[in-house]
Amino acid sequence: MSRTLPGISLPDPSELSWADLQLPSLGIPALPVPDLWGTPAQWAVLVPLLAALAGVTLSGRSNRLAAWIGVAGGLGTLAATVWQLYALALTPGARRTSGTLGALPLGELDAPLGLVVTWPLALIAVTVATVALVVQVYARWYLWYDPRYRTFAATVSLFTAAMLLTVHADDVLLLIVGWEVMGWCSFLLIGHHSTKNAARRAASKALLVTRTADIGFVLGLVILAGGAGTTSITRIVEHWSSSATVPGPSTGLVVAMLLVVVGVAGKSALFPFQDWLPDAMEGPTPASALIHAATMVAAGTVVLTHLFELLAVTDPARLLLAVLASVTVLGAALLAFAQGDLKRLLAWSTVSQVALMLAALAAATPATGPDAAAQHLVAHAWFKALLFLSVGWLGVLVGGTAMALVASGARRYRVLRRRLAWGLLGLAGVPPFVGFFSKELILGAAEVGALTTGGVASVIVLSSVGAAAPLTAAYCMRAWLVLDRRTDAEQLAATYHQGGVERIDDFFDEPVVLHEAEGLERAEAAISSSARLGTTVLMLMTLLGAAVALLPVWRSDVHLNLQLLLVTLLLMLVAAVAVALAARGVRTRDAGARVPANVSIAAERGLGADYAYRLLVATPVLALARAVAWFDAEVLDAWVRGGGAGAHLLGRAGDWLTPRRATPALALVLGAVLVLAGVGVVTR
Amino acid sequence: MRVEVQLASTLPVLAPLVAAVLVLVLDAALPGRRVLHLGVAAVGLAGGALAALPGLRLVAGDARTAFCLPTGECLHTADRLVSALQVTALLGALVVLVLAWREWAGGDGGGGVSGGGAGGDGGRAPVVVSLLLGATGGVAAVPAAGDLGTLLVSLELATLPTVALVALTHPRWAAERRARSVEGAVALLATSLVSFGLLAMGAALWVAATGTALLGAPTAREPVLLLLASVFVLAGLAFKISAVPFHAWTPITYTTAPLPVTAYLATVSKVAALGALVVLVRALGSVDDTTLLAVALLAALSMTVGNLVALVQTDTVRLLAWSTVAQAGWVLLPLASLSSRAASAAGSYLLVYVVATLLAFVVVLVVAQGGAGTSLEGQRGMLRARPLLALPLGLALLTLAGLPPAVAGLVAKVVALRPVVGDGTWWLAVVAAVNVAIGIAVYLRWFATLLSAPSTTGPGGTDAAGEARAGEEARHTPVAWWVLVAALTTLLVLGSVAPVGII
Repeated sequence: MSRTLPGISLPDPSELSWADLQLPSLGIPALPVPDLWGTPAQWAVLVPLLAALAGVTLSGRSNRLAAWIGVAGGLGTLAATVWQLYALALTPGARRTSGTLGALPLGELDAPLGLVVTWPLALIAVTVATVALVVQVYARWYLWYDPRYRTFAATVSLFTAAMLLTVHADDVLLLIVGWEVMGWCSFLLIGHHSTKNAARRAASKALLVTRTADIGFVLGLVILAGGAGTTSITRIVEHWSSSATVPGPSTGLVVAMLLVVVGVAGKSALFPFQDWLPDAMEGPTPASALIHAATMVAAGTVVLTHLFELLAVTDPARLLLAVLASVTVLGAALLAFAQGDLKRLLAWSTVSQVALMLAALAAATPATGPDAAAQHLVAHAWFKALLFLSVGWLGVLVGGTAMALVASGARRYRVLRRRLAWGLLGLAGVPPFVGFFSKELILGAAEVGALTTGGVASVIVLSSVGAAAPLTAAYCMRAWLVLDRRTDAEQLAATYHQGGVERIDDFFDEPVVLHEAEGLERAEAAISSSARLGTTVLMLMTLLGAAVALLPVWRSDVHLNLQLLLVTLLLMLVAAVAVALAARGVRTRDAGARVPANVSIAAERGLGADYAYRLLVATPVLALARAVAWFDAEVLDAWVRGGGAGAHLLGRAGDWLTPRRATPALALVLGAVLVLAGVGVVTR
Repeated sequence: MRVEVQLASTLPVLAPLVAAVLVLVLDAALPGRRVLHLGVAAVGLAGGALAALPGLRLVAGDARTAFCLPTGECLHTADRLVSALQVTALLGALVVLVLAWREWAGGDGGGGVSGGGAGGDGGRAPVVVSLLLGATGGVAAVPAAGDLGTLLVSLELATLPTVALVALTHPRWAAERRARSVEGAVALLATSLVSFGLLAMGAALWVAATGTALLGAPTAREPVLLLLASVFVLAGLAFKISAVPFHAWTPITYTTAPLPVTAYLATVSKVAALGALVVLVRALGSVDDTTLLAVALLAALSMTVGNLVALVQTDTVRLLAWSTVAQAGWVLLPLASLSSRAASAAGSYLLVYVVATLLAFVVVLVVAQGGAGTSLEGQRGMLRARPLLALPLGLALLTLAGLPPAVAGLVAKVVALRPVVGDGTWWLAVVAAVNVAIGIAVYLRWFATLLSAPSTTGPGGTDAAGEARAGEEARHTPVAWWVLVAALTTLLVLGSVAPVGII
């Protein structure tokens, strides 16, 4: 795959092909790697699983041991996924498969339980492993004094194993196992502070909402597997693709894919399931970073990537996904802008960004492929993990993440400044950060889809993604303006030294410098060096990750429309300027303060989605359950109780009627013989 | 007419009978040697069981025969099912012998003065032992019967000695109790005599209908007559298996007889009854287009009445008596379909029933021996006080109820239901299903008594006293009984772990 470098022959500027931007492929030197037992995909799943088991069983009462196990497991997982990259580069066709437990004897259903890896999956796996490792390191600092840290570390390991299983699964059963284990782990992680009512409620809510949607997921996969007679995803895709011929996809495929999309919508917090994700902020910061950045919510994208060839030919499912994703992209971005808490702003931005990935899948056609979504998944993992961990750090320093508390945070604690700035730039999609490339790719794919065979789904996605870009820029700008507000000390200094006065004092007498140094000192003293290193890695990846997007391993047949690109950037700029103007005159420089109070409160409550869940789902279900319980207890059980009492009475009567002496016994015998003989003759 | 005699195949029947004769001869030669009699009896029973063992390895359609006529029909035919029934009967009798050992061997029951044993009781041991052996020989002969004569004679051989066993109680018993046991013996005797009359009448009708006394392959010249004959034979046999409404002697006799004899009546006697029924069913199965609604009616009635009445019993022996009635319904259930497979299903059910019932009787006997009596209340809280007894008893009860972890009982019930469902006799299947539920209630009621906390005001007195008593009992319980408990429990556990021992 050698390509000419851009610049040697300049292409038509209005139709820039992605292939022209991609880096040239380099020959990978064949290192003398010893023959290791198993394949990297197997190790990538096994190592975190073993770490989780070891964490639960071995760590005893020692936080230190639990941390070592967790971090070592994270390192091992990362090593396995990196080894996998190397192995994949040496594999012709860039596709490796391996088994797990061996095929299950399920009779007519063929269940090989295989694993598969291709370039997008391998890169996602590396990202997941890296984020998980950073989260482990960070949690070791963040939750060091937590009495349940050991459980937390083990759960994070298990969560990682489940996600990596989902990523690598080439079997519906493995997919469901990974998917469900993730669901339960998210319950544990969100409800980690189990003494808090809010945390318990959030955990149950996350579980119940995603579980409700899982009904669709499991049913859809069962239909797919049942129709194909196998649980191997590769063979399922082959089977249904060949059956989806000229007149369009079969009804079974349409129903199955619609159900799968519903399930994915639940896990990935698409409308109308979106409300569990912001509530999941009740979990500790590392858990939020893990759930939001690389694992749980992104799992839906991974699953649909596995099934992309079926999704692409099932227009009703694409349309449903496009509508749900578009509503979510825009709605969540608007809600993010109105949040009064930085962490909740990030949560809503996650909802919006994950919907963006799924929108990319809905818009993609077989010609463009699903790679744009996978790329955005990787990019999003870097900047969202960075933002969550940095905001968590900031929260520790200022005692909370409400907008009023974090105001000026990036100025008071200079060490956080670049981390927050880069994260927000990545989120907004400003070049040259990762978000820019993946978003442009999504736009490009949607445009290609809209112009060719993508149909109305691609058009919907194109318009919503286009509209979401300035909205994202707006809330990023809002957050940055608040974070970057001048500190009170700086404001005072500016007020009292309005130029003209030359001071030649000692450098360290300068109050601003002192303040800055103190902030740095406090910020660095608060965190462990390894956790800080973790955030640094993420920060660098926010920038260097762009290179991943340009690797020649992605599909390259997307054409970029430069005009569209420029218009998008311009719109983002306008939105940012508008936000900056709106923020003038607010004490905390918070443009969100311009939002009317009742709107702001409604947004913080997720527009009453929780109430709607209760009204539309919980209340009727509970009412039905009570009715059934009443029916069971009062009507059915009455029969059972009556049966019991009746049997007892009959028994007493029988006991009483039983002859106590031989003579009536003989009479009984003779009478019975007559009756039996009569019956025998009559029924003959 | 030449008759081929192959004594080797009749060894399971001959061994106990020879032992019985030997006991009587020995008693004449060396009077008063009770342990010797018992030893000879044990050897006879074990030898018979050993002789029947090779029959278990027969393939389907193959049989060990004796007394064969030139026409090819044999008066003694033991195939796999028959051999299994013989082994069950002989080993069951051995268990009963071990249970009765102390009472029959010990002179005065209390185990006190050994020298006083010779007086009064000296004559009982050889008599009861030979009666037991004779009855067991009859039981072993019944299922192998190939003609009506053999069937009738062996049935009477299996029945009449048990009457004497019920009546010949321990001389130390109170006069009132002995009188009651005679009453029980009379009930059994009267019922068996009437039944024998019915049986003889059935046999006569059978000969009239088919023209032969052989059961091999009846050609029905008179179908209605044959049916009538079968109904009478069935009615004659039903008393022995305690099917309602021929069951009335069961609770009377069970509660008055000595406990080992009750155990014998509840298990070994039932083998004879089923053996005879199997003979009848096999004979009828070869006649086309015959159904015996009577069997189905008896099965349904027995189950329902037995379970319902067992539900309200407060005495363990009475409960076991009614449980026998209910289980008789289950044994009869598959026979309603009159096929060879149904006979095997009934045999399997009986096997499981016999093992579980014997185990229950052994435990009840151990408890009763300790002075706690046979009331259900006396076993309250036994799981905590005497777990080594309560756990096997619980397993036996669960087996009878057909509840896991006693998978053996569950499998037996499924096996028994299969021919009925296969025939499409749905009303009977529904009755059986209802009875599964009532049966579970019956046995769980007992099980719950074992589980519940011991009552401080119960017959056991305070906990400390109960424990002291338990220790006392443990010392007085013969090792052989513990061996029985262990062996029967092992059988049930093995049957539950790998339920392949089903015939």
